[in-house]
Amino acid sequence: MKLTINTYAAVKELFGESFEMEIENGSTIDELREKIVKINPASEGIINKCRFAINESIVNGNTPIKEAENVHIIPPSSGG
Amino acid sequence: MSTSSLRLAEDKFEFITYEPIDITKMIHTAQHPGAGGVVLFCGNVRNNQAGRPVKYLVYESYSPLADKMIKDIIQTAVQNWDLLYASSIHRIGKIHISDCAVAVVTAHTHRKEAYAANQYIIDRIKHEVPVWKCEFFEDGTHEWGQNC
Repeated sequence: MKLTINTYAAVKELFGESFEMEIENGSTIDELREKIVKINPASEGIINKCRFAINESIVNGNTPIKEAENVHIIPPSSGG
Repeated sequence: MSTSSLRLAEDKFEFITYEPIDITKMIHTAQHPGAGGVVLFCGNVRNNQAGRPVKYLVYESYSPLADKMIKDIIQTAVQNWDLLYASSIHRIGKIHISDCAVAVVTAHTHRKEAYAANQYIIDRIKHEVPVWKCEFFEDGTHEWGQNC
């Protein structure tokens, strides 16, 4: 299935504001993370520090991704 | 998405705003006849990062999640310290030196709890909430910030 991934801050500078990826049905967030690093090995440092959100919730690495869900890569916070 | 429609979309959030933070209004809203201590924290934009001159900052956020998380953090603080009032707002977009980027207000019967709860809220906002700052330096370069 095709997935749209939204990016922010330093990750946005590496991948653009959003990008599409083809993943297998039932893939988890951890599998997606690995696939993203394979596409852009230079992103490994930052991607491994990121949390992931589906829709409006932070999710664990073993969470399966369903069709049409919005995935967000959340870099370490630097607000305040 | 155009800048104007993006701004409109962001304006619906309670704890995230593109507008300057009205700290006078925040402290006024926190007044309570039972409050012996009202603490207001302002996180202002510094003119340097480790001595390197900063021109301005740009903050961005994943606002739907950031708004929800700030609300949860405030609710937790209210419960943990039995606060009479608590609120916070984080500004995003371009912010100039000495402007307030984030403010937290807490009110309690006594100052000790008001201070402690205020620090709890700002610490969690800085470390957990999906808001990011980009520092634009006087030398023309920019860098996504590390939290400090």
